[in-house]
Amino acid sequence: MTPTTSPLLSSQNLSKRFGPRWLFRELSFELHTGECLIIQGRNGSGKSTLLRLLAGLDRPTDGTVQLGFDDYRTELSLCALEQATFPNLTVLEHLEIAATMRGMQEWTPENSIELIHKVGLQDHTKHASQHLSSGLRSRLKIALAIQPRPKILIWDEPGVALDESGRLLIESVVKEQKERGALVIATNDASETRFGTHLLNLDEGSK
Amino acid sequence: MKTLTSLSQWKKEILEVFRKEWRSESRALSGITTTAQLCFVSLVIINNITWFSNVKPLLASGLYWLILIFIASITLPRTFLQEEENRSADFWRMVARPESVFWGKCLFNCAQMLVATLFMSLGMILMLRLPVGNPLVFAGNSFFGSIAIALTVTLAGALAAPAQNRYTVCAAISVPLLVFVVNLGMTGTAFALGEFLRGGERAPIAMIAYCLGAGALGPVVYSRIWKS
Amino acid sequence: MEKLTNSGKPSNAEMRELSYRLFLLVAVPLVTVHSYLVRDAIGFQQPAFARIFFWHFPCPMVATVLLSMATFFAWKYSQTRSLEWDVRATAATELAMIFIVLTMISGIFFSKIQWGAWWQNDPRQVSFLLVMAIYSGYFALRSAFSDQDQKAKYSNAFHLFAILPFFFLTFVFPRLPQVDTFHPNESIMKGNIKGGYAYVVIEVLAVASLVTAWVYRLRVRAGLLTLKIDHYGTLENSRLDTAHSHVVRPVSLSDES
Repeated sequence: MTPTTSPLLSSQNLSKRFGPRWLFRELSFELHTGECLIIQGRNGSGKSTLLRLLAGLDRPTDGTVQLGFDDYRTELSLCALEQATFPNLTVLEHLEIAATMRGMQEWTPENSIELIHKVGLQDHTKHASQHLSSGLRSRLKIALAIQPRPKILIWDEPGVALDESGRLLIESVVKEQKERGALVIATNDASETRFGTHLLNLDEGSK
Repeated sequence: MKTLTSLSQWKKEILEVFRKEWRSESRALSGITTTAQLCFVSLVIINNITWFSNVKPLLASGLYWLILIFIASITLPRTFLQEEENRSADFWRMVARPESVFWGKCLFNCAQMLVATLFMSLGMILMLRLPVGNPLVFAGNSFFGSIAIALTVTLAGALAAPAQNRYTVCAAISVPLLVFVVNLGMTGTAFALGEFLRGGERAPIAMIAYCLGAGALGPVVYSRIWKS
Repeated sequence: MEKLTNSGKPSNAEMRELSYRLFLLVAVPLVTVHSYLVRDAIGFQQPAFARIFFWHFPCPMVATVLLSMATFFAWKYSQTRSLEWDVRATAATELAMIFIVLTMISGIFFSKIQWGAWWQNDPRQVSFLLVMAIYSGYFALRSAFSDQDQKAKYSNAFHLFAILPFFFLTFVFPRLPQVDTFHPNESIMKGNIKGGYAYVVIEVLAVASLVTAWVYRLRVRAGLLTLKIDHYGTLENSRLDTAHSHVVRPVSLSDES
């Protein structure tokens, strides 16, 4: 991957095992602006685990993950399948909380409304997240992930639970993200593989 | 986007976590209902077991603090445990700083504990007809005792949140940590209720010292278990 | 057990181990005999049984040192996230718990024989019981995690907080002016234990410390070996598949979007 600029995200000899089973070993790569790493693999191959390692939520057995920036709250976002929202809070409240906690001082309610429109949740602004369908909740998670305009977006199974308009949303988000930073996407959906500039197949390690 | 790291930003973040807890709680009402129910049932039980006799101040204060720690160890850890149950804990880990989350949740637990303590104090004084000889020591002891309990249980909740059978584990680690707070609290409350105990009037001061210690250690320990 | 070297001579580690064992083999019976040879203490209901004190006294001291060590190791773990520190913290806490139990048992017997009751509600007795309850929580917390890293992360964080009540219960609470205790606070410091009695107390303390150091070393070695077996065992398992099993590399896609 492009060696001339400093990487936004890099991993050196990253390895992870659960008990006696190695998921992957000695994984090294660098991600620069405009790049998108697609991670493929069958169920249980370690895709989601690798994403959690890259997001700093889990600890590798060996190796390191390095970020090319300081503030993980605004520069790194994770949009994960298993990550849930707060059941009793509305869509708007989620975005308000995330903006405050991320220290985004210029964020206004108008920005939230704009973002809500962008992800197609305009009819659900004041609905509690527990009353949203799984597709709408996925849109909320996308809104939360792209809210700070991060340099790295880590995305687990983007297309799951999304309809056709949701797939168009994914495409526009990927395009924008490539312009300002890089992406890591875990997917087995062939239609999403086309976003990638690099491919990592975790199944190859166990062949 | 530029980020703020000033004191006002810390305050904003802590209050935002508190507000989130308040909104969730005011809409679901499960934590508040459980706390109120436990307080009420405890008062009824105390009333029943002390029906035919006058309760001595030392025993009354013992019962009072015993009930408070059990109410706390059952209800307060919810703020952390439910995040792990709902799988929303990662949301905080991705967008927040550990200290803000700890203090925000702690603030909410302190408020909840103070309300429970107030309810229990009034209930016990009225039902057991306890004479409060030294209201200042009684109030100070109860106030700082509640904060000490809330601080300890908040941290215990954070430690037990990812564990298997987290509610039991949380009680198993928080109750022993709190026993000596109960000792202190009992001394102060018994003194305030007229029992002659040497140094009883100084119990609130010891409680403040504990609160300062726990308040200083809590966020440091929590930041050690934050993320990987 | 470590293997003999090729020359047939024992290694340095084996020599150290052997000297430890020999010393303890001689020292423990000697100190035990000495503790029976000193004259009976005066001022006790059962002067002969006042000797329980020799074995009671070092236990809380050793336990306190071990718990302080465990907290230090927990801090080192939280800094480095190395499981080796976790092994040390666990070893120290386990041994401390054994000494706390020994303190309680010897104290209870002393209390029954000299004062006529198994339990006196003595502040020091109660405070040590509380310390025992607090550190039982450490083991309860560890058992609630199946993953080794999580076990280490959360239980060591617990250690860092538990130092607060531990410190208060051990060093502050029993010394408060309003607390009446049967336990003399500064018996040795003020010279209240004299002559042969003082010598035996110091000897037992030294032997107990050495036994603790020896058992602690063994426990740490066992823990580190378990870590190694876990690591190498799985490496061997993975080698059964292919030489570079599970090693993956990203590839560049020619058809970039």
